[in-house]
Order: sequence, then C-alpha cells, then structure tokens
Amino acid sequence: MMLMATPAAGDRTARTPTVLVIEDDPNVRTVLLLMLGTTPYRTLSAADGAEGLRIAMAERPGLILLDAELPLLHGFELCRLLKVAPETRGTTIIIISAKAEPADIARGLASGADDYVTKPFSVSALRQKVRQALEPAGA
Amino acid sequence: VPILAAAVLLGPSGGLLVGGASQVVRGIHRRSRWNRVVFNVSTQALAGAAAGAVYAGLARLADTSNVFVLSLPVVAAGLVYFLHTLLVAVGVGTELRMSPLRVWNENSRWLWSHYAVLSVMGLLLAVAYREHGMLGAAAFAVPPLMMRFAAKQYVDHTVQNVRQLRSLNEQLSDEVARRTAMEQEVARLAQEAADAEAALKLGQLKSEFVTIASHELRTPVTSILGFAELLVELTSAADPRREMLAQVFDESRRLADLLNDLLDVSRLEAGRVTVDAAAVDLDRLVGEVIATAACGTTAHRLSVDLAPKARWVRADTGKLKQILTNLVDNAVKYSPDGGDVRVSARPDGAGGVVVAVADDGIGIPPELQGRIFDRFHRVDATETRTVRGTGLGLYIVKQLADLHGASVAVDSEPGRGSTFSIALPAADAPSPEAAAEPAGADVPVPSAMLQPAVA
Repeated sequence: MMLMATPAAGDRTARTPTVLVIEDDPNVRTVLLLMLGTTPYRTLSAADGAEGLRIAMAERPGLILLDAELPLLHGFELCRLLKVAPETRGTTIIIISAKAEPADIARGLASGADDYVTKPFSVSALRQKVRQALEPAGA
Repeated sequence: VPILAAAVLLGPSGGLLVGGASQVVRGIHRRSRWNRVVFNVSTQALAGAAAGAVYAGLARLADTSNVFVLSLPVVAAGLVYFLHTLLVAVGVGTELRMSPLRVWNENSRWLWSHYAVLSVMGLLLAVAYREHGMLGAAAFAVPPLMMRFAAKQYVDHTVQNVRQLRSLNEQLSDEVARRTAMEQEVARLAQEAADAEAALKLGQLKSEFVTIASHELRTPVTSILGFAELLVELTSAADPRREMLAQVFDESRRLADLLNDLLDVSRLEAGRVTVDAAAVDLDRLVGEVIATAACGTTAHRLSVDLAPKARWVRADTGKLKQILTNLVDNAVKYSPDGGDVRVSARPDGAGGVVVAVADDGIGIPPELQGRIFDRFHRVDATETRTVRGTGLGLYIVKQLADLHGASVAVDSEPGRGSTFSIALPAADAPSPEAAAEPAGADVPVPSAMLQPAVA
C-alpha cells in the first residue's frame, strides 16, 4: 500500500525503528505513546512544532505521527519542511488531526504527508498503520 | 324677471300667465317629464299670481308718492321667492319622502340672493317699460342678457376646467395607487430578501457551529476512545471489568461516529458537499467496503456478487464509498449474528447499474419505510439499546444519492430482511489496462477515516 516506508539509509534498517509523536494535547499524546508501548519500536515525543522539528532532525525517525494544530509551528508547515529536508525526506509522516473537513484533508496531503487520519481514531487500526509503515511487506 | 315685471305691470293674472307660460316653455325645452312640468307650471303660476295680487293690493292701499312704495316690489319678490321655493320643497320632499323644511333648507334657502337680484331687475324692467315704453324695456333688458351670456360662457369654461381638473385628479390618484402598490411590492420583496438572507446566515451559523463544536469535541473524545481501547486490550478476558470497559469503548466509538455524521450532515445541509463524478470500479470499491466491515464483525457472512457488465459506474468515489459503507454497516447492525450481508450489482437494462445491499435481519415495517431516510429516525426505539447508531446514516445516504441524481430504494419485510438499492449510471472502463489491473493494487484516494485495508 502507499504507507510503506522507504528506509533512507542502510545503517538505520539495522536499528530498531523509531516513531516520533508530535502532539500538544497531553492526553492524546499519552494514548499514542501507550499504543506505541505495545509495539517493539523506540518512541520519542514532542509537544510543539519547533521541538518536533528539532528532534526529527536529530533522531531521523522512520515514522512521525504529527498533529496538525500545533503551537509554534503548524503541523502542515512542519510536514512541508520535513519532506524537503535531506535528513527527514524519507520519513513516513501520518497527520493525525481533529480537522475532518475534506478541504483540511486535502491541504494536509498537499503538504506532503503520506496519510491523514482524523481524530478520534481507532487505536488498533492506527497501530496497524504504524506497523505497515515501518515493516515493508515481506519483511 | 318677466314674471315679476308682468305681476307688477299686469297684476295677478299677468303673473299667473307669464309664470305658467315660462315653465311650459322651460319644460318643453328641457324635455322634462309631464308631471314635473305640470308641477313647475302650477307652482310658478301660483307664485306669480300671488305676487301680482299682493303688489296690486298693497299699491292700492299705499300712497304712491310715499317712499314706502319702493318696499312693495320687495315684498312681492319675497313672496315669489318663499312661495315658489317652499312649494318646490314640498313637492320634492313628498317625492323623496323627506321633510320639506329640510329639503328647502338644504336646496333652496341659498337661492334668496338670486331671487333678490332677479326681482330688482324685474322691477326695474317694469319701471322702464312704464316710463319709456318698449324701447326703454329693451334698452334695460339687453345688458343683463349680455351679462347672462357672458356668465354662462364663464361657467361653461369653469365647468370644463373642473372636468379637466377632475380627470387629472383621477389620473393622479391612479398613479398614487400604482406607486403605493409598487412600493408595497418592493417592501415585500425586500422583506423576502432579508428573510432569505437571515435564513442563509442562520444556516451558515449553524453549519459553522457544528463544525467548531465537532472539532472541539474531537480531542477529548480521542483521549477517551484511545484510553478505553487500550484498557480493553490490557484487561484479560476473565476480568469482569473488561465488559464494562468494552461498553465505555463502544459508547465512545458511537460518540465518534456521531461527530463524523453530524459534520457530514452540516456540510450537506450547508450545500458544501459537491460530487466529482468519474468512472468508479465497483469491484475495487466494494472490496474495500467489505474489508472494512469485516473488521467490525466476525459473526456475519459478507459476500460480494457483481455482474461482469456492472463493474463500472459513474459516481464520486469517496461519496459512493461512504454510501456503501453506511448501508453495509446498517445491514450488519440490523441483522443477528450469523446473518448474511450481500452486496450485488446488476445492469438495470436501461444504461444504468443497480447496486444493492441485502441482509436477512429484522427488516423494516412497511409503514416506517417512508421515514427511514429522515434525520434521527430509527426503526424501533427499543432497538437503540442493542443497535449502535447515530440515526443519521440513511439520511446521509439519501442526501449523497440525491447529489448524484440517483435514487435510493428500500425493499423490506419484517423478520425477513432488507434490501437497499441505488441506481447509478453505468460507465465505460477507463482503458483496457486499467480495467485489467487487479483490484486493491493501489488506493487512489487516501482513506481519511481509519479503515485498515487488510481485514
């Protein structure tokens, strides 16, 4: 499917894949981290767009779960930046947003995101998307 | 004038004759009815005769050299006036069944000045005749006749002016009425426009409110739903708390569905949903819908039956997916565990394709079938306890079908199940390569809602 990650560098496929959660609402962030806690992946989190950008550049995660309405740097803007930066160009980005209007979804995908999930989401279904993004078919 | 002159000069008989004759002439000239002529003749003759008699009698008694002799014609003239007008008033009053005094008061009293002028002229005419013969009478009579002619001309002209004025007045009042009607029409239209604008504004406000409210509700519902799902996962099947947590999870999911449906309804009602029709591969689309539905149930048998000639339809992919998802979800909801849910597509023989979703569930009583597409309508209130739903699903289906210009039909029998069908125009396969491409190889539109593609 379209959500398959393409590992940017060979050395990182050997490592445990990393998932970065960028979400300002502490409860939703906790839900996402607890959900990822049941997966074998390494997890990182950020509470605003600027911190998210800094961690993404430094850690080069395989997948970013990105909220849209973020303080300091809007999720769509951050997504655009991450998709052009050489360090994070290969990172899969799933936007998780409370904005469910088709126009919002279109704008989110136009910023380069690989998928757009509206809140509220199903934990099991999102976990499946995370797995699909980090484990290419057949792996 | 002639009556009084005759009465003064010739006495009662002269007044009587001239008075009667003048009314005969007048009656013939005006073509009055005979009874009116008789009445006029008699009253005028009587008045003239009485005036002549009084004048003659008083003249005999009085000393002609006395200055009081001048008052005699005045008394005679007054007599003519009162006698004539009162007799006329009695006549008219009898005819109209009104008090003669009132008739006289309203119609004749103001005539005294006419009588006065005419009496003086009659008197002077008589004096002129007595002193200077016919020549004197003629010399005296000519100026008043000329004046009368001039006055008649003046009156005619004035009457014409008044008529003209009246016609202009009528035109003006017509114009005023027309303008008033026009102004009222303009005011009515302005009111209608204002009402429409207010309704539009209200609709926009409502839509805006629903959008904001559903957006603001999304974040807390996300946490509740997420924590509930995680708790269900973490609780062992033997733990009695698992059932309660499952309920919390189910109810939060219902709340989340309601948020999505409310947002859809608000967008539909605000006219913000547009249909972007293209050729849609039912094989792929129905496969996706069934795969998603299979995630939600393990107790139902889901099957697909597409006629080869009914594979391509012209529709908006996303909207058609939403329609079929809603119908399949309903079919699962309203049929017991172990039930069959079947999605089929058949050519309708008229260039269209009928897509149907059938179940063998509780069915819909005939009297309710017309109302199931209304907002917040559910088949049975008692079912709301066991059947999860927002009551908006079929309403959204109907609205989306309407946007396609398609109709949704229901065929159902209580206890035997329901079949919902939607008729869509058929489409040609875009190209042989595309048609041959295996279904599910690539999803053209990313799924906005979380719907795992793998069952």
